[in-house]
Amino acid sequence: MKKSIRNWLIIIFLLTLTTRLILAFTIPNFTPESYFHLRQVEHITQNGLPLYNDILSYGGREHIFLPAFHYLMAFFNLFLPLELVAKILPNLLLASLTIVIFFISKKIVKNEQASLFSALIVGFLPVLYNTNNFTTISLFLPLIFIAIYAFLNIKNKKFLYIYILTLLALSLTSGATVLLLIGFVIYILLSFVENKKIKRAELELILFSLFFFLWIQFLFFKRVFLEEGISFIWQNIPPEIIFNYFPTVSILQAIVLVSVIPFLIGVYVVYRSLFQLKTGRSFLLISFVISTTILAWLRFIRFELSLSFFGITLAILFAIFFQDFTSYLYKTKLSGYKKHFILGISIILLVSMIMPATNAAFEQDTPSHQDLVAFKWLESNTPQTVTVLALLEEGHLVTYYGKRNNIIDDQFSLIKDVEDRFNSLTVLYTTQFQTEALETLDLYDVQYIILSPRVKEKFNINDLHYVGNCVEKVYNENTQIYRVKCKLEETK
Amino acid sequence: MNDKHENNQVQDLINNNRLFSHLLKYQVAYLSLILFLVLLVPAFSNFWQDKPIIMGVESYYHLSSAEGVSWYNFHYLPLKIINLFLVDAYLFLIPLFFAFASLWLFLGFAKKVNLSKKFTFFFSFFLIINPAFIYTFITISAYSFLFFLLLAGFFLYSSKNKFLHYTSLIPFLLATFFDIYSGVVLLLLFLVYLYLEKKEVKALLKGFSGMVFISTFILIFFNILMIKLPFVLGPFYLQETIINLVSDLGGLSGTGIFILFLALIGLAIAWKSKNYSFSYFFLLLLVPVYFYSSQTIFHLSILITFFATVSFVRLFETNWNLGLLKKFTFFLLILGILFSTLTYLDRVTEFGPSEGNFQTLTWIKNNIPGEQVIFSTPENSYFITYFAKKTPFNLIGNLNNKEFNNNVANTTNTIFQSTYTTTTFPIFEENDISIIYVTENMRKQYSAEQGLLFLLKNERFKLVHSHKSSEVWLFTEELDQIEES
Repeated sequence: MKKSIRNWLIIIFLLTLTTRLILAFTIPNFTPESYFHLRQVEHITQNGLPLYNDILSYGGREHIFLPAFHYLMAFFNLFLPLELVAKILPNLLLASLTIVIFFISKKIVKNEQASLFSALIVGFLPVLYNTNNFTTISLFLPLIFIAIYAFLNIKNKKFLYIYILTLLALSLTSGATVLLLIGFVIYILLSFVENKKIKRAELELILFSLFFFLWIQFLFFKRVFLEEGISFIWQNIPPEIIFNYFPTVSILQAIVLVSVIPFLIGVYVVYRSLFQLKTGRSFLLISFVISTTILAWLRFIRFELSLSFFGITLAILFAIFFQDFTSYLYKTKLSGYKKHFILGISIILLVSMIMPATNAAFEQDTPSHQDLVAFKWLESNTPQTVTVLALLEEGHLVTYYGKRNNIIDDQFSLIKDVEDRFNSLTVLYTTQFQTEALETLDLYDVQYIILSPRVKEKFNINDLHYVGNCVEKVYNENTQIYRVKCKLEETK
Repeated sequence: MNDKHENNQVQDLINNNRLFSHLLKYQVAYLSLILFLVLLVPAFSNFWQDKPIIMGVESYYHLSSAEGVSWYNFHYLPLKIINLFLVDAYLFLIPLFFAFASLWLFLGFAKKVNLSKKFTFFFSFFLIINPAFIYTFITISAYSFLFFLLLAGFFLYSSKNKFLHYTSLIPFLLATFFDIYSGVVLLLLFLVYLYLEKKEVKALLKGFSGMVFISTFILIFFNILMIKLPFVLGPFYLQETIINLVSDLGGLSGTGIFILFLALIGLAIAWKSKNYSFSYFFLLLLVPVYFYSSQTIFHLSILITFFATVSFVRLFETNWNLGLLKKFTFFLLILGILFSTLTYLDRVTEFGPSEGNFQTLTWIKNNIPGEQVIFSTPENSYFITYFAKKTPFNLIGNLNNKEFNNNVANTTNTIFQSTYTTTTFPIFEENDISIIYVTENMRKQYSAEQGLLFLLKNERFKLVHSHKSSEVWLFTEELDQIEES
């Protein structure tokens, strides 16, 4: 690699990392689902094992999840405070995508300059700018692209080991690794349709990956498969909110999130590769684009993940376009304007991406400090065994800061009455009738109710309708907390 | 050259491997041992839990039918005779006998038709540990007997001894009496066998083979027109296509996920091979019929096992470029397949009837006299008939009348869903339902806050017996009616 290219790559990486860290530290706290992972990491640091038997979530339940991400974070938590680890490490991992993508592009197009553009696009991809999101996606994305890079270099034995190790890590990080496998299957089909011979080693590696992944998932999720059947794919998400997890996104929204230029150019490259050039070099990537689209369309993977994967793949495809376009340009009279052209593209890309990226970061749904104070109040002012009613999104805040039982959170797997709980939650915040509220509160043994600004906005209420003798306000700041004093009993 | 030879040796997992050669040499013994273990584990587990050893709705359907044997179901006479000599605890010996006989017949047949030892071993092994096979052979099922008859037919047919050869007509003809679908499968199997043996279409329907083919064909028509056999027997369980296909998703039987993936790879391999192209005919028949009735999972699972064996043998007898991965993938697969079976064996004994069901239904038989109609879920019907010796609501009337059956199913649904006494009570009275049999599964399936389970709070229902989550409720007459009488 040329020294100048290496320097540019380092600059892109550092620029991405700095931007991400500034945003992460400017925006307070973390996204609601992060608190589940924070709690797991904290537990691993203290006990060496994940919190598989959680006595607080849903008032006591079993969690089944892949723990690689949590162990990695717990390792760093041994030397650094958890809050710092949670802000720095996911952003460092996502910033490192720039380097991985540079090498993948370089492998495909054999053009370092074009690859730098791919790295730049990935560095400022708006959909990746959830800077305060402490979830497995931050480890999953770099790992899956390292696996793809190793797969592309399979002739070299060193990369075979890298691939196996990455696959192991991926299989222990997220079930979304299935993206990689379905991508491989589509790659085989595409090659078959186009009469392109697949290397034997590639086929062998794909076979191994399939059974290896299946085996690991089987070990972890055996019970989930048996109890939830085919619905395990949708993670037992209540039908009322399944659209939040797998929303139908308009083309316009998708374009904004993966950025206009890479999107348009990506579509163009896919079209040319498949129908005009029929070259094999982009087949693998196009297979991943197809697999992501199919899985997202069938609602098998979450919207955020599918769009991130899609955006990154388009960024790599951009390199193909850049190379083709510049080589065409050199054949024309405009070849003298090479530098201007590159500068122009850089400016257009940066302008069209930085604003949406920072916007995406500032639009993250994180709780305010005042909200957190209310949740922390629970720990020191309520008995240890109480159950607290909070929004589904705030369920992990109850368990993480309040250290109290919640009635619902976003870990739905293996919860049998999740739909009833979700409906009860809506009833409890909206009902006009005290008897109905008390009956439902009694059903889940709820003693405290949290009325946060988020609840007020969601249900369009200012206060609970049944506040009175039976439900008294015990905390009154930006967020209110109520204590339930009565129980419904049969008359004698 | 040396390196290549060494690599080949390291990779040789199933060709010249010492352990594998030993397994092949004594494959009859090893396969019999595995079959013995796999089928006896559920029986012992049931015995240990004081459950009836024979399980499955279908078992009790056949046992109930054998109890009431008459001219139109004369084929149950042998089962009735066996049941007279064998107490219930030993009834598991019937499917066990069919399983062993089928295995030995298959191994004998494979030897006669020169099927490779490798293929025979892996096919038998994968089939024995397949949940669909296990379930079929731990219950008294029509398909266990059918499988035995088919193998007996082909074994005898392939015999060089003329007498045995002609005797094959008997099992072939008997095999058409289960359902129409199995008859069609038999015809197809016979045609494929003849084609593979003689490689000539003209020779197919001459002489004895022609006689077998035509008589089977005629019998299928006879069964459709005269005996009015159903297209597919059953169903004896809830029809859920995906769940019943993959045992690892909680199905009653089905196939393990690893075998299923292997079979998908096998499909691609068979596509390229002339020797296996016939298997696609079966695919065209078996898959649509499975979607029509998941009761036919046994037939489909045999085909899936066949494709899985094709891919397993092909994958591991060829050299891989990445030799290290070959060994690793081999062990992963074997572990995955075994793990899948062990998981199934671990939960298979959860299927009914439970000890609670058995004790409660026996209590009904001993304590509630007279011809009473019992209301419960359809899957309890044959347990009620066999253990309680009473008529379940779902089985009253003419079972062959489709319209009548639909009406019964609709009424059952109404009873379970309706929370109004004005709807439910008249149905009970009209149909003389006086006992409600509630099981643990029923409580899991239906909410206690609505429908029949909610209505049980009404004063006209009296809990008269309860044992381990199985309950007997009496539906009594109204108070003013009692006073009048």
